[in-house]
Amino acid sequence: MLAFLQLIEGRVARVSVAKDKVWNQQFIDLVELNNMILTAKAVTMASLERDNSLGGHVRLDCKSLLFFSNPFSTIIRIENRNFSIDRFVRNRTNFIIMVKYFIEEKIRIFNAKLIRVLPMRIKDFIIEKKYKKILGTKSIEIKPGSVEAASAENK
Amino acid sequence: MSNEIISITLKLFRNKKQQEVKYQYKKRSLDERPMALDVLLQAQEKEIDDLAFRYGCRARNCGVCTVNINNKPRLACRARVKEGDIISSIETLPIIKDFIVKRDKVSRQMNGYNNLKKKNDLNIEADNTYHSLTACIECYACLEGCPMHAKNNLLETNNEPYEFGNPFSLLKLQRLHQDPLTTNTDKINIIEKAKDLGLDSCLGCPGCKCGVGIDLKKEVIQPLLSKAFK
Repeated sequence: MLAFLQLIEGRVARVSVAKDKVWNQQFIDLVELNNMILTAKAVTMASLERDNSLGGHVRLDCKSLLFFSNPFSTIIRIENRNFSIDRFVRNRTNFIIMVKYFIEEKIRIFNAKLIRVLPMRIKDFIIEKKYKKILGTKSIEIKPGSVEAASAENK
Repeated sequence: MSNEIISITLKLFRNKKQQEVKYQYKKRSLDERPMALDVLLQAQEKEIDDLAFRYGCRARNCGVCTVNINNKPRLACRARVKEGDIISSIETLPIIKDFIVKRDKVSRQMNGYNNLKKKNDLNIEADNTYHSLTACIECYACLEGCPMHAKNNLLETNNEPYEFGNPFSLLKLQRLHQDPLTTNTDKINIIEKAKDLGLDSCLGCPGCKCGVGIDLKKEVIQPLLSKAFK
């Protein structure tokens, strides 16, 4: 990926744009392309630093995060188009909280899977109850997709 | 004329001169009815590679792609073009290049009027007169044919706000007026600001047309007029 970006960067460096000084669309596009390449490089470097998918990148070769690995943030500094990469090690979350979260997450996913196989009537009942808990018992007047929801749309 | 080509006239503005270019749009499928933005994008890709125009969301949400189609302001991303149509930049704002216009002098009119001092309170529900005005996407299509905006001198190149208002700035003021967080003293200031912008031009004006279908006369102008000139 980095080699590919290097290749594009080399090509972009040879691009010539018109010398117009008033809203030069070609120049604007060139600047934006350069910025995109910079961002892509930063994301790629950060992804190589890690061994799992996180934030702006997906790594297909390393899938799961080790449960006991040290948490860290990656910092990428750009100075004169040179990249430097640093690890900023963060404090580990309390072990009990982590286990609690892990179990809760498993239960949540199990519940979601369970709802899928239940018959329609029970499924509806459970989902309705869940949404009422979030939204409260107040009735909602505006339905999605109706004229009231987009009052300026149909005039 | 073949079925695969639509010829469109583009009115470009280069080096302080207007010039017309005929562009042959190649249809991607035989039953395609292209949007104006499709034509501009293809023209930029294929022939006029320094064609300058603004676009953002391509879905009528951002309001920056307003152009004139047959001398009527339309959103390029949502206006279909047909054989022989003319695309030009909007005439109500000073042109920078091609289809790019100087927009900031309108929004600068709102300087100092968007300061809600109270913290946002989600429990206060604004009424419908407020919510219907949030549909405005700032496309500035309403400036067309506005007698109040016509009083402005478009040739000035500074960054000062325009002296006279337009339907858009009045809409902003009315929305702020309807905001439940606006205090009563602020409301008086808002009406005074509307008068300063030349609200008296609206007396006897047949009305303005919104690019996204807000009823400007009923929802903006009349409430402001009734509060300002009792």
